[in-house]
Parts: sequence; structure tokens; C-alpha cells
Amino acid sequence: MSATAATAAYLMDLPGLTPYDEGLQLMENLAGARSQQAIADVLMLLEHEPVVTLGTRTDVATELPHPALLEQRGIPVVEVARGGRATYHGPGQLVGYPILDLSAMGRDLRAYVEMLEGAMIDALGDLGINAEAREGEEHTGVWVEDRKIASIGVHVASWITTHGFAINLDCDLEPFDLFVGCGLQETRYTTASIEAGRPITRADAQPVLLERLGERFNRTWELLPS
Amino acid sequence: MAVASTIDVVMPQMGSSVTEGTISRWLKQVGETVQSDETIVEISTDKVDTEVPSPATGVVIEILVAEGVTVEVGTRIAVLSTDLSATPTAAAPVAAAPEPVVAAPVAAAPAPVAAAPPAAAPAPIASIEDGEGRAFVSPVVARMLVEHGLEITQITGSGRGGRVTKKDVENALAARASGGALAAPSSEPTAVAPPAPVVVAPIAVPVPAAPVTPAAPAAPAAAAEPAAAGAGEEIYTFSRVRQVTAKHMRESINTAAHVTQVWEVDLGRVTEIRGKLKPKFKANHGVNLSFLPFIMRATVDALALWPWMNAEVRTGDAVIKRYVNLGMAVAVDDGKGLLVPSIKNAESLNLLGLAQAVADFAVRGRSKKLGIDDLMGGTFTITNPGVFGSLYGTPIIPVGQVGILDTGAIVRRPMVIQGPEGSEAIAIRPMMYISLSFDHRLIDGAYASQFMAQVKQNLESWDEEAYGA
Repeated sequence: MSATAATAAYLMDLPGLTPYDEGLQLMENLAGARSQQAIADVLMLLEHEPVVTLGTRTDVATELPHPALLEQRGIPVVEVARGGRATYHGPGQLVGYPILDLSAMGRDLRAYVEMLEGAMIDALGDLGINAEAREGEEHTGVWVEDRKIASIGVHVASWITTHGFAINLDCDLEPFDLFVGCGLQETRYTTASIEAGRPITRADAQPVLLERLGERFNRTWELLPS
Repeated sequence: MAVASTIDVVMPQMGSSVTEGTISRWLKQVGETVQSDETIVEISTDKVDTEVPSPATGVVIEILVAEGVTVEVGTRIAVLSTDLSATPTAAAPVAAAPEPVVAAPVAAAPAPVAAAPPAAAPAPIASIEDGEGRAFVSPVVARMLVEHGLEITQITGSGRGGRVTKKDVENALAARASGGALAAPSSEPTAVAPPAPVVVAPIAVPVPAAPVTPAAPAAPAAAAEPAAAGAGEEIYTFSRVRQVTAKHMRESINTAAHVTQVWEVDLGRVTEIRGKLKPKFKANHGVNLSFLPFIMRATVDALALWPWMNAEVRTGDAVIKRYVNLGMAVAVDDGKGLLVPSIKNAESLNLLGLAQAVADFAVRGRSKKLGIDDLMGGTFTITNPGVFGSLYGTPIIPVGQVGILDTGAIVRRPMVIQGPEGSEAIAIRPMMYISLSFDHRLIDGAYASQFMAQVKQNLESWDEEAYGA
């Protein structure tokens, strides 16, 4: 049994910490190019400087009632033209922005989210962590028992995907306590390092993640010079 | 003349397993023209937001499903006319999104204790509220509820924001069929209704004594910290907002060295001036003039003379601010906690400007239109629990500030007043306590006292010339 030959896609691997605005601008430029079929699918992998992002329709009263807690720590709050809840990004969290044309993949939003979840679960498994997806749309993301280890938030326009996922590797979890976030009362966050009981860095996680994403999406990654 | 036709916009198919979607935002309103393939609406499913392109070029003549409402794939959500001069056929959307939860400013009357779950009186497209305005259901779910004689309060929603989904109804029906119990309507505060604060919970309902039907579905496992309720007790699990609020309060107490002092102010002069200005403000500007803008104006002027009160302790240094972003503590209903939006550059506003800013926060708080910028950047805060009758308080200083002023109730008291030539008399005066909590790391008592003396003086000798409308 032979699988269809994998399609080549670009990988943009941004080292160090990327300011949120810069990463977002790059993502939007790439999505524009992708929607005009000027480039192939791209996966951006990066870590952000600490930031809390808000959807434009976020009700701040219920999501971010005390932003002084963030101000005090020098964590900026950025409004983003997306739906969804407030979320935190920061060092030690591996962020992926897959910019894919879902038209070529059956135009199935749920299947796409499940592929992202599946790839992350497999990659965490490779690192010795037993993670899983949970039932219910409010549980989108990846969990270790009742602890959230990875989040997903996707935007689609003309079947081109933007935004994506974030896996907590060895990030500070305290910022998650400073806002309401995904709104689930019982949500507790965790990191791969906590779950594995040893430090897991981007250098450990990125190769297995790329392999597992490649498997799920049937892609090979061609590194773009950054 | 070309024959105009109408074209339906439907909730699109977004994958074989996606059966419904929620309208996040209409980018085109009734009467607006939309180009073919231009985004007309944003919808959300799972954690995916999707921009939906218009199926044709035309004028939006009807929007059938309001923002926040979830409908099945294939449902008509809007109607376009290809006649570009078409006029709207319907003014109002069929399914209006429920009004957002009221964010009552402190000055509002105490909110009713319990939001009674309304009986299911289906709107044309069915949006059933749970009293918190969030348990929207799809038409399919609404139909199932009616068909099976179920109340929405009997079902715990697993959808976004506690929304009851088709699956929840199926599960509830299955549980009923197998002899399981449904939650009794409204007797179990944690079912669907917003969690009631412990203090108002009916203490006469011991949870363990509730009748247990055999094979009742197990309660969802509540993470790792199960608090045990004894007889006559009831558990209120901290909401995330409550947790964040708690974090804020603890962080302030743990960092700032809190000291509170209380002053007494004669509001006779302010009362008189307010009585004179109030009808004018109402007639000319449509704004209600409460006592708060007077206190704000007096405070902001005192801050200019005592600028250390308008500061922040940042990494061990004091940052003195030459602008005043005046925070105003706003209590929010139904356990959602407390917000402190701040009036930016309050030093540049006169009494009218301050009154308008207070009214603006009240309106935008209620309609959930407060933005993140409103909540950030405060430099000094006023809280006025006095409207409930409190005489004075010892408030907690907001994180990132060094002072907060608390205003008590205005009470008519017999006071000793000075007459001519050293004589004294007892008179009935409208009196108010104002208290100041300050951060003793930066501010000493003498400095705080002089600031408060200035606030008192500004109020008692109100300068109409300087402060007028």
C-alpha cells in the first residue's frame, strides 16, 4: 500500500522571540500570497515575546477584568482581528501558524482542527507524554487529563487558514492566572516539561512536531531562509 | 429594466461533520451593498472563525439570524436582492441576540438576587435565555425541547458558554429513558443558572439531603480541589473572573503597605450648587448630575497639588504621573466581580465632562462596550459604595496605583458650626465621610492628610467660577 507522494510545503522557522505584531504581520503577508496561489502552503514556527491577545469581540469585562495585573508585569495586551477568547503567548511556548489552502484538503474545518490536535498528541507521545483531545467544542486543544497543554485558534478566509496552535513546553504558567482566557472555569494549564518531569525545550519538540504534522498533512517541509 | 431576484445566504457547509455554526459578526447590514465574494458575515465553529463570502452582488434586504445565534448548516441567514436599489423588507432581525448581562455601576440599585429562568417562550427562531443571556439554542434544540416537554434549565449545556446542544438534549433524553434524573428546574443553582453568590443562596437546602434517584448520572468530576459541603452548606466554585479578581486583591495587599484615613466633609455648598445645575445639565446635555463628578473634580485638583498620590511604585521607584486617569470602581452583576475603567486625562475635564464620562461608562458597561483601553492605565481611583448606605470603607488600592478614595453615604447630621464673632450653633448639615487608602511605601500620613485636607477644602468651598459647567 503506497501513500500519495507528500506535497512540499515551506517551513518558516523563526529563532528566538518574535514580537507579536511582527509575527502577525508576517503571517498575514504569507496568507495573502497563499490566497493568490503565489506560494505553496507554509508553516510558521516561533515563540512570542510575552503578550495577551484579545479577539476584537472579546467582552473585556468577562475576559480581562483586571488588566493592571498584566501592566504590572509589563505584558502588553494586543487586540487581534479574530474571534475567540483572550490567550497568552510567551517564551517557552511553541507557536505554529499553518497557512494552508483547505480547498485542496476537502474544506473540512473540523477535520483540520482534528489534524492539528492529532499531530500535537502524537508529537507529545514521542516525548513520552500521554496527551489527548477531549469531547466538546469548548475543549478544543490538547489535554493531559484535565490539564491543558496546547491551545488551538484558527481563522479561515477563502479557505486559507491563519493563526493556529500553541504548545506549552516550558513556559511560565502564571500569566494564565491573570485573565479569564478560554473561560472554562476548571481549566488548569500545564507544560510538556511538567508532564514529562524533565525540561523539554523547543529543540526537543520541534523535530517531532514537524514530523507528525508532515504525517497528518502529508507534507514535507522545505526550510525557508528567515 | 432587469428583473430583480432575491438570493438566500445560507449557513455554509464547512465539513462533513460540522452541523452548525454561530454567527460571530455581520460585516454587512441591512441596506448595504455587498459584492460577490466579499465577506458578508463571520461565523464560528469549534475554535475556527470563518469569513463567509457573499454568494452574489446585491443589497442585503434581510438579516434573519442575529450575532451570537447558532443555527444548523443550510439555514437561511440573510436575503440579498440583486436589484441594487432594493429597500429592506424587514426592519428587525428575527432572532435578536439577548441583551448582554447588565454591568451595573456602583450607583445602581442592588440587582435582583436571582435571575429566574424564563419559561420557554420561543422567539420565531428560538433563542432561549437562561437569565444570563447566554444559553442560545439552535432551532433543532428548541424543537426537541418542546417536543419532549423539557425545560432548558433541566439540562446542563456542554456547548460554548454553557449552550445546550443537540447532543446534550439527546443525552438528557437517554438519561431519562434509563431512569436517570434530570436536574430539577431551578432548585440546583449550579445547573444552568448563573452561580448565585453564597450569601444569597438558600441555606435551607442541604445539598446532601436532596433526593437521589437511582442511576443518577454522576456529577462531572470537578478537577482536583473538591470542597466538601456539610449539612446546611453550599459550594460556590470560584468563577475565573472571581479567581482573577482575587488575584488582583491579594497582589495589592501583598505589595502595597495599606493605610487608611477617614475625613468628614460638609457637602452643603455642593448640594446647593448641584441642585441648581442638575436641571440645566439634564435639559441642555441630557446627563444626570450626581455627586460623583463633584468629588472627582475636587480630587483631581488636589492631585495636581499633591502629585505623589497620583503615582505608581515600579520596580522599587516611584513614577509620578502628570496626567490623571481617574479610575471609577464599577460593580458588575451576577458574580462577575469588579471593573475599574478610568477616565483618561480627567484633569482636562470640567464638571460636565466628568458627568458625561461617568454616564458613558455606565452605558458602555451595560452594553459590554468597554474596551481594554478603558480598563488600562488608571492612575488614581474613586470608589463610591456610599450609595448603598456605607459610612466609610478601607478600600484596597488597585495594583499599579498608590491611592484610592472611598466616598460614604451622605447623611444629614447635627453639626456644631461657627457663627459670627466666635459664636457656635448646632445646624443640620449634609455630611459625608471620605476615606483614603494609600501605599505607605511611598506616601506618609502627613502627605496623605494634606491631600485629603485639599479635597475637603475643594468640596466645602466649591469654586463655581473654576469648576462651572
